[in-house]
Amino acid sequence: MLSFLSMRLVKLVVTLFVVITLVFFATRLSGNAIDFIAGEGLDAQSRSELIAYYGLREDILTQYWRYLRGIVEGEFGLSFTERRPVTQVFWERVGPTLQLIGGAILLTLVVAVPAGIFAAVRRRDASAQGVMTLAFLGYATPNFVLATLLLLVFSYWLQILPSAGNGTWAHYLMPVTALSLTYIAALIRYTRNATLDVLGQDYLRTARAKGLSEREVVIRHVLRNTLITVLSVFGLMVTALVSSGAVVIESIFSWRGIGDLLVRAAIRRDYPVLQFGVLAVAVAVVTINTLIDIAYAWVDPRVRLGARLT
Amino acid sequence: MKRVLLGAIAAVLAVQSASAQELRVGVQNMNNYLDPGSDHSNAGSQYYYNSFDTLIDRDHGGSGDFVPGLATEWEIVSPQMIEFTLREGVRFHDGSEMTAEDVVFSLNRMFSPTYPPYLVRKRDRLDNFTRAEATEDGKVRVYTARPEPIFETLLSMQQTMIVPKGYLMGLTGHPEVDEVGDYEAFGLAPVGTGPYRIAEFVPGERIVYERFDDFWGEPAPYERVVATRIPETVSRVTALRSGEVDMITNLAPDQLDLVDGDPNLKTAGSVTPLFHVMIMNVNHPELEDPRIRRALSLAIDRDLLNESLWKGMAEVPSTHTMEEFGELYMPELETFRYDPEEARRLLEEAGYDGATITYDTHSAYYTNGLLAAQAIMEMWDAVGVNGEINVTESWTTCVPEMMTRNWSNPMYFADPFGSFGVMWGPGGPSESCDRFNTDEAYQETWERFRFSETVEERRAAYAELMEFIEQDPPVLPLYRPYEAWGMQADIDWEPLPSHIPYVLDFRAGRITPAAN
Repeated sequence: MLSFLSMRLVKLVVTLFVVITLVFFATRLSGNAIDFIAGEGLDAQSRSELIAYYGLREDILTQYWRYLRGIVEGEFGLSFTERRPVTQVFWERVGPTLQLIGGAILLTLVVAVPAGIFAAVRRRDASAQGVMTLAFLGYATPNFVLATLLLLVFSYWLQILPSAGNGTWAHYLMPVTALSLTYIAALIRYTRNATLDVLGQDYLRTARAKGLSEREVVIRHVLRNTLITVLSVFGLMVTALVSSGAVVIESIFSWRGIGDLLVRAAIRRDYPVLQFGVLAVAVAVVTINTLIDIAYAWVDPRVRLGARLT
Repeated sequence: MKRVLLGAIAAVLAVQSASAQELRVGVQNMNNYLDPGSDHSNAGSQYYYNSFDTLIDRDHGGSGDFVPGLATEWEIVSPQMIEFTLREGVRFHDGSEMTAEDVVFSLNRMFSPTYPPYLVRKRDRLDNFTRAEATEDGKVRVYTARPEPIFETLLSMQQTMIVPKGYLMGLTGHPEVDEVGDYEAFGLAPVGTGPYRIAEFVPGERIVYERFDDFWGEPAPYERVVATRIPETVSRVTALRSGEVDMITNLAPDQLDLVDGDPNLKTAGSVTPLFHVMIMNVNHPELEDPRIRRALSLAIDRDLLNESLWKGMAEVPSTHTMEEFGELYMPELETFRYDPEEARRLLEEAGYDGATITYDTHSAYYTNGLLAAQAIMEMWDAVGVNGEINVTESWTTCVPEMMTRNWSNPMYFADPFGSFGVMWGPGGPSESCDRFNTDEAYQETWERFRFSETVEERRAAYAELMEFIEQDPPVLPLYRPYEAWGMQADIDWEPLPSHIPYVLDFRAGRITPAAN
């Protein structure tokens, strides 16, 4: 287990270094930040002075070296456009995004796992096939389409749900639903398939043979074994949600979260915000992946043993 | 159960929309900082006028003429000096009383800047100003290097709004030194003298204005105004329809029906004092011959662009002029026109060899920018020009390879100097980026336009400048876009022509609140 963990740690550090480097150079490929910050009508001399003011005059390797040193010292710089520490700018946005993603994860689990198991256990019923049809439709609908539809129906026509911001619990209903749909649909299918696999196993015949009711068979044996598969898929979903899922939804529902911040920072070439934001998201993703690997190893001894053998 | 749930949600909404003394505005753009001195963005211009004053104001609700602001009187003592008598008893939002010292500080921070973002504004519009100083009897004198014909225009601009010296210098570091950090901090916690104080500013998200009870003029009509960013148009319209906001910004002509179709809502709009333009790099090898550029310009049917992209609601100018310039409005000049025959002739005469002419455009920055680019390519094709759109996220205005692209020329203040001049003056952003050249003759004409004392002389010189532009064109103004605001039917508000583009003026008399 220890060597498994240390391998993961090395991978984690290498991954983050690659991310930091890529983001640093990629942000600078798309034109000079000054032209975006100052807008139209900048004369050459002022342009050159502003480039110096924002610390962009040095050659790019020097800037890169300064940036790496800053990270080691915990200094991530000032936002170009807000002139305050990027850490401050970023943390203000973490809460709303976590609430949105948290809501989506919760809704996905609560809906998808029971629905998937139901669709497998009652696979021949029309109701189960109905669930699968809905899941198929849900999977094929992009979340921004659903978001716009929800907005039109519940805010524009019926006028019963608020359309912008995150002031009350009612504000959460549409964005969380829109964000979850694809994941619910996918997870239903995975759960159903995993359950079908389990249902064909010999140990279920044994369980039934020793006199357990069908309900107990499902809860004690099917559910537990299905979860191993579900867990790994679910890990991928959380990662996708954290890294990119909420960007469009935040924009449509005027949700002041990280996705919105990063899109705006990209448009305005606010390098420090962009760099820190992507780094923070990368740390979150890598951490979640590591935790899920550990959880997986804990649930399934074969993974642990495999790691020891290598 | 369902009914209970819907009832609860409706109750939440009702509580949110109940306050009678509050105006809620859904805005497309919100600044990340608020500093009237350095800012000249369209997003920022919306917000300053509610919270800041200039020495000289304009009668925005009426004639648009200059009226007393923080100065009760002014006298142009000599062509190079103006003297202000300051209004007494004016308070800043932090409670301090405005003194001549604040005024001198505010102006000098722009006239001889130490903060780099101010330098840009100094160069492009305040270059003639040398200093402000207080007299012993509490008046303020402002001096210029050369005779200044438009003192009032320049000293009623957003960039000359008055800020509190003591408050600003105390924000960071030493309380009696104006450090760069002070200016940066001021942009997040701005304080002025206007009818609304900025009670809360969340960068990129929200401004909360509150009525400032010690305001020197007529009290603000609202107790509270909250402007919240709602970036997507469909979301803004939805928020307006559902009553979450009372007013929204930035509606394009094809979106008006969304709002006007609802009897509880209405729109108000105007052509914006800003030109979407096409610029042409006069120093690019393929475009060096002015005949090629004239042909590129003559080939474009701007009226057709207006009809098809703006439903005919934009305005196509015959020259680089706007009605807002007052006595310097010169619609009689015909600098730009549509003449495909002449375009073909010029291309042949210049020996155009079918070389590809690229047209750079951002994918979404200018409303209809990409569609206009596509239409222009068709129009060029019709006269035999081999055009190619280059969609780029970069600003290529200072890139030597740039051949043509879209850009805009806003009216930064109501004078040809404030629109054409800022962009096309000698040494300005176009010439200093090497895509426009001025010779001695141009410079001499520019000087006469900029500094002549009489309106007649300035008009004559401007007509000559337009002649230069016609003969050797670096720019074609395409149109003044039409922009509208949506609001609840019982609110009366409209954009006022004496303001720069996009100002949300919520001062007394400029908006009639709903009766509830």
